[in-house]
Amino acid sequence: MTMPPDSSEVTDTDPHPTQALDDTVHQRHRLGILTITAEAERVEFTYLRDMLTLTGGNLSRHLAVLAEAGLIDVTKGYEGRRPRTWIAITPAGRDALAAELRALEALVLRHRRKPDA
Amino acid sequence: MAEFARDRETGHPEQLLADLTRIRGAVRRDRQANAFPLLAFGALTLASAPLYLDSIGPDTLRPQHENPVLAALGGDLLQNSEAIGWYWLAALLIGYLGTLGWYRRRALKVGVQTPTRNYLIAGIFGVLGGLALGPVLQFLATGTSTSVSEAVRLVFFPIYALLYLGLIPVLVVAVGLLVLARLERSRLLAIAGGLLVASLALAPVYVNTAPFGDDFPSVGYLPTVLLPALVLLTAGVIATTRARRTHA
Repeated sequence: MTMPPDSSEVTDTDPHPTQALDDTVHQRHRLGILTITAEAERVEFTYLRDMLTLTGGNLSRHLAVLAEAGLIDVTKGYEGRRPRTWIAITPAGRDALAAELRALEALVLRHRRKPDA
Repeated sequence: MAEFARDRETGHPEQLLADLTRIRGAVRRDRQANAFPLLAFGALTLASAPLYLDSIGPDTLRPQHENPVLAALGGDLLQNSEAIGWYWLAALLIGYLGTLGWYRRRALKVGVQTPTRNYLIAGIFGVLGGLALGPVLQFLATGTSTSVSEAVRLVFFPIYALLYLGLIPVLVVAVGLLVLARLERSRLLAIAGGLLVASLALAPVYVNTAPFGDDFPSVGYLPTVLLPALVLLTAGVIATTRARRTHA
C-alpha cells in the first residue's frame, strides 16, 4: 500500500526557501535593527549603534535603506538640549521581519532534512 | 552582542536565528523596569493597612454607608470605607502615573522604550470600572428580574466580596501588572500578578472562616491587605536584585 507523502516532507518541487528572503531585510545588520525595534515602541540611535557595535555612519546608511523601504520610521528631536534620534518599526517592517524569520526557519528545516540542499 | 556585530556575510541561518534570539533577549532585559511598579504599589498597599483596622467585625449589623461616588473604591462594609476609597483613588493615580513616568525616564536613560499605552488604558478602565462596579452590580442584583439578580449574585460573588472589603483597588493593581507583564514579556511580573489575584481570592475565604467568633479583633481585616503588600514587595525586591545583577 502506498502512503501519501508527509506534508512537512521537503520535495524537489517545493520552491527553495531562499526565494522568500528579502535582500533589504536579509542583510545581517538590517535584520538586527528590525529585530531590536520590533521589541520596543521606539529605540534610540545610540542604543542601536552600541548594541550592533556599528559606527554611526554605517548605522545611518542601514537606517536610510530601511526607511526608504518603509520598514522603519525615523524621528529626530531634542530631549532638553540633547539631540535624539528615535527609530520605530512600521507595520510593514513587522510583516517583513516575520516573513524573513519564517524563511530562515524553513531554510533551517530544509537543511536538517536534506543536509546537502 | 559582538558576535552578532562581527562584520561578515550572513552565515548559517541556524546561527543567525540563534543570534537574533539572543539579541531579542538582551533588548527585553534592557527595557524591563518592573521593580518600580512592584515596589511602589507594594508600599502603597502597605501604607493603606491602618485604614483596614476595624473594631466591629464581619458579623455585626452595621449602619449603611452613603459614601461619595468618587470614594466607591472603598466599598461600604468597613468602618473606614470612605477613607479607603479616597486613599485608593489617589494611590492608583499616583501609582499608575508614577509607573508611566518611570518607564519614560528609563527609556530616555537606556534608549529603548517599552510600549506602555495598553498599561495606561488598563489603569483608566480599572479605576473607572472600580468606581462604577458598586452601582452597576447593585442595579443588576436588585433592579432586574429575580432570575437575573440571582444569577448576578452567584456569578459575581467573589467580586462582591472584594467590593465590600475595599479590595477592588488591589485587583486594579493586579490587572495593571498582568498587562505590564504581557508588554514586557516578564515572567516575574506575570507570577506577581497571578499571586496577587490568588491572595485576593483568599481574602473573603479568610474573613468568613477566621476563628475569631464574637471577639473579632480590630486587626482582623489586616491580613487581607498585608498579604498582597507582601507579594508585591517581595517581587519588587527580587526585580531590583535581578536588575542590579543584569546591569552590573
